[in-house]
Amino acid sequence: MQKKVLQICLLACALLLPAMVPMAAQASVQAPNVVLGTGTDKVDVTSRFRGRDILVFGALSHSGEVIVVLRSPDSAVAVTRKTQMGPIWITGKKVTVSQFPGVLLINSSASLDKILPAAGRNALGLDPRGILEKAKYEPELRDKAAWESAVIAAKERQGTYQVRSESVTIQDGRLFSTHLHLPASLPLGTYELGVYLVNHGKILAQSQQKIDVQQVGLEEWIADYAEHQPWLYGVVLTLFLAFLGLGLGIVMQRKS
Amino acid sequence: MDLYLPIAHMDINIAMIVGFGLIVGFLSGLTGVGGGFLITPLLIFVGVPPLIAVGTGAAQIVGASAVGSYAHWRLGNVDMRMAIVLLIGSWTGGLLGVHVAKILEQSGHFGLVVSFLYVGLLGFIGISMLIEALMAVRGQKKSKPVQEKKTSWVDRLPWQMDFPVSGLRTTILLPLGMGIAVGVLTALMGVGGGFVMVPIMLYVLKMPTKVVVGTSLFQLLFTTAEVGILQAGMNHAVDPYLALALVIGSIFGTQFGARLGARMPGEQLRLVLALVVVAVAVKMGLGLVIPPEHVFQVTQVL
Repeated sequence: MQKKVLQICLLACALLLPAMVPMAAQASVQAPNVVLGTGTDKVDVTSRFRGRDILVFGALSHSGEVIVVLRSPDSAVAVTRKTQMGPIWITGKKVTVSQFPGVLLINSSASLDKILPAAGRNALGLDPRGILEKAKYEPELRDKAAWESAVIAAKERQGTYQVRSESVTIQDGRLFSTHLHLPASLPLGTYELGVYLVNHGKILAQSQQKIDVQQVGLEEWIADYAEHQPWLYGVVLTLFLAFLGLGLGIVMQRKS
Repeated sequence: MDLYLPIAHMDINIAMIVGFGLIVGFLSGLTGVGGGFLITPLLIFVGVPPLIAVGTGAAQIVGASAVGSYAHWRLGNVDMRMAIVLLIGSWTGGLLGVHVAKILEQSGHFGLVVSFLYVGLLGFIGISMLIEALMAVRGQKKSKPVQEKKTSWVDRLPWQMDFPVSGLRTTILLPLGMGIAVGVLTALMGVGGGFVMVPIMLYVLKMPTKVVVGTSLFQLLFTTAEVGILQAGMNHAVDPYLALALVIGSIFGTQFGARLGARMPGEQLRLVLALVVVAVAVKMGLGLVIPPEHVFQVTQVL
């Protein structure tokens, strides 16, 4: 099914291509360009959400390498460090790290450090280490590097940070496509999708799009209700549980 | 069947949670001992954050104990005056405990405190149950000390009050204090606290057994209800899907357990439960001493 979607998308790009060919032919006068499309611009998080692949595709006016980046709004994590006291592992210091994207998925057609110099990668926010260095730590830390590594490692384990080289395929130097793997647990909000056409360490062209990641249906309603009306939620849920237990129990006893 | 939990913000196999409810309900129905102290550790073992495991554990007891409380109330086994005194204590303790839980969670120590409390409490309950069950299986009936209606220290405490349903006059200080302790335990551990209340009511207050069962069940229904509401309101710590799955599982489990328990020797059953409790305590204890896979723990802040 996804393959079919891909084929249709590539066909659409192929149809677009003739329009771009003259553009490419006069490359010296015409500015380089990237046309970007996605399989979806909305991701619905329901209780059955187990992560999702997003197809990203498009056309390039010039040849070069492609970087596709999906970035979520800023979020925060709490980091605790366990320390050993005698034989027992206790929770030590707790640090809140905030003001950095909760999800960062980077797909590229070749290894990032071969495509772009470090300064360029950092300027685009493509380097997890650079991102964590700019994040806010509360309280301030002396041994920040260890905590940064811990956050990056945890994010990579969860799949909320992914750097996948050679995952963007380019056909005929003009069409590109890739899949971004959204993890099962992710922050909600408007994500930014960016595509960069890079040649010889320089960004020739870029294109942006937004993807909405929203909780929908009953889950949204419950989470919203529990968040904004926690007392009412607590009272209603508790009463509901009491009557459910009472009702089920009476029915079960009658049957026996 | 995997579900995304809207409050705990994690994926979980909901059939497994219903299974936990079934197993714990089954054990509870078999032996007549409440199972709240097994639910919270099980939730923690499968990765539910400790505060949500505790909050949801308390809330699910509301559903699990509702029908029993109602039945005992209908039969007139509830000493309402005693229940109110207990509730004054336990609601105060619950309020206190939920505040303490909030402070501990903010400083990042709640999980550790819960582990310690469980190792201590389950270790104590499990071992005393084990000893009692082993003695019963061997046929050594505990030689009950002859309980004469002598004046004990309890009778000398001030604030004596008549409790006509229980047919006794005693101080309200002891039930009040016991209520506070039970409320704190409910808030910090997600348990009903029957294992604390029942022995004291039986052996110290010397209430009749039937009234003890009815009154303790009745008061823990309202204590867990208060704590459930407070945990949801103050700490956002009650997950609806988890609570529902546990209640449904435990209602069915209890029924099967009770039917089977009527046809099986009680001593052996208690031995099984004691072994389960000790095993959970040991597992909790090992969690404290085994080097963690990751020294840093990273959790999403919402």
